[in-house]
Amino acid sequence: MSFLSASGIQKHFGAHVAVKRFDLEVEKGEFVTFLGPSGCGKTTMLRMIAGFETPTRGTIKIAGKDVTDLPPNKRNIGMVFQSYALFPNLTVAGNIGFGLRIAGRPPQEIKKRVGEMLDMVKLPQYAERYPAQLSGGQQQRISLARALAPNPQILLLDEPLSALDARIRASLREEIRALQLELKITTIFVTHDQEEALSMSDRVVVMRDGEVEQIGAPKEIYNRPRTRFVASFVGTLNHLRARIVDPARGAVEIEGYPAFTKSPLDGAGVGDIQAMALRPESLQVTNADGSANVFKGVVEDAAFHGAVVRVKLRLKDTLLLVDVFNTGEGAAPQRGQTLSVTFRAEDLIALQGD
Amino acid sequence: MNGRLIASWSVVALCGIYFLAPLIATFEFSLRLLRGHYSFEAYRLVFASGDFQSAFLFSAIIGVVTIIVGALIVTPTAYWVQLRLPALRGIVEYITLLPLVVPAIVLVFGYIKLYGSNSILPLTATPFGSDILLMLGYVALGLPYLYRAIDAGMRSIDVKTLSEAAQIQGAGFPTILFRIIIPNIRSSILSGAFLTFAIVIGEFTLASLLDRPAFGPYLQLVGASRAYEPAALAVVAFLITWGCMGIIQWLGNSGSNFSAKR
Repeated sequence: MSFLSASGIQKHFGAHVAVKRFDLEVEKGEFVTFLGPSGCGKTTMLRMIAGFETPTRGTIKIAGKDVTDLPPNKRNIGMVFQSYALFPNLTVAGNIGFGLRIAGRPPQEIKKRVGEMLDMVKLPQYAERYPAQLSGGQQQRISLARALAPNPQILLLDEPLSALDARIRASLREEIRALQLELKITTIFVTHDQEEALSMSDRVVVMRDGEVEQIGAPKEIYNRPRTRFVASFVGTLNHLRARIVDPARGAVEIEGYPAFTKSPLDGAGVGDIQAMALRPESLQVTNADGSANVFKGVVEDAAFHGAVVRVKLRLKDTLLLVDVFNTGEGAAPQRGQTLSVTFRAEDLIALQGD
Repeated sequence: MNGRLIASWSVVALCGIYFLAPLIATFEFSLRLLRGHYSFEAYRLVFASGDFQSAFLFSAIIGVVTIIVGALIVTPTAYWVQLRLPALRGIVEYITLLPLVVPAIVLVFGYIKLYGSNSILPLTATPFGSDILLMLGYVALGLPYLYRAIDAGMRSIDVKTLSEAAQIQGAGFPTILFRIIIPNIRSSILSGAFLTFAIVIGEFTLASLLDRPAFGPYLQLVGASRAYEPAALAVVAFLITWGCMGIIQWLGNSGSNFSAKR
């Protein structure tokens, strides 16, 4: 049985439907990320798990217990907020020990636990400071320590990194994940940053317009996006229109070039138009010409990005993005140059829906 | 440019004279009790008077109770308006402004009519009942200032997120209000409190018509029967008011938040 279960969840705010349907089973110790653009319902869903919102329909269970109508202060959940939400009138120690004091724990135990938490977030010398005396990154670490201090059964992270600068964000991302793995705490993370979602999670729930588009491991979401939305939201993608030639063999025609997918295109008919996708990094420059899975075009632009050179390759009607790895050897593609690129059959993704 | 500057300073100087000249004249007059030389005799007589002490003490106690009751009513109201009922903000603000448009004389006649000795709740029948009525009247009079100060404090912090952060840690409503929200808007509450105190100390109409031995009616009584002491009392009343204003200013500048300068 799963540790956290959300089944048939709907949430209406008057006429507005924030969550149309949401079903999810989360195992104990799992790190699950809700990923999606603003307004997709990910934060509303998190707030329903926290208890700040009540679902219009559906049930939420934690460790087998129905908590749908339980107030937040009875759920034993820890939460880290985007804006840190540290109590300005309390010191760092006061903030971390707040939940323990509410729970009526003895002062000695609180002091010990606060010390442990400060060591855990590597800020042992900051106990007597006030939140206003800390940097954003330090405040978020304290916020994490406060959330974890009462030993919650679930940790909720509501875009905790989005208010921080890029460097701190990257390091804190690693720290949060390392802590989560060490503590083995079931964690729900909300973000609109696909890089965060892919690098931290055991599973990613991609949401759009109040519905789940796809649930899967980061690799699966990235390499096997089910819909055009997931494909375009997670990473950069080339969208292609393919004409089906032989669905049983996965044979298609893209911009007049023959191409093959790895699997048969079940349900498609000859002559149908199928939405397909290719990642820029799955295309390689080749000398081969005229064979399957090879496109030939003219370089419109080549931008140096350090590790890669991003080439814009003009086919007939499609502008193809190609990431050429910068090995330091050979000349980079030049504007106006004719270039052939190839890809593996398994990298050509057939998309469902829109 | 110079002409403009001179004109601006002239306006400031004129206003200064308009406000300060009567005060200076009052102060100067209050020092003339003893013929032939200036002295603080009028002040000595005022402070030595048992009536002054009892009237001031009475108003101060009523003022403190007014602040406590007012804050207990206004703080949870402003909190709920901010957190859960933002649509009611306009209505609540309108209600809190009513004491500014309803004269105190109308208010007190209403009270006497409603809570007179022949009514269901005859508060005016006993001195203690009248004190309660007076205090509640002051709560109403102080409402525009107390509500605005506390509401401004609520708006200056992220009430919703702080409440949620406390709630998810296991805190209930009273804990959130008394341990998180109120300490963070302490300076706003105190600002409203000192404004209320300044109003209560000098208020005449309610206290007089409810026949309570407050500082306002005492000022009027002394003014009607003495020459120099009323001037000294006026200066003392001004100093109390200015003291309150100064404390508000100081709180606003230094104690508003738990800032980095701690």
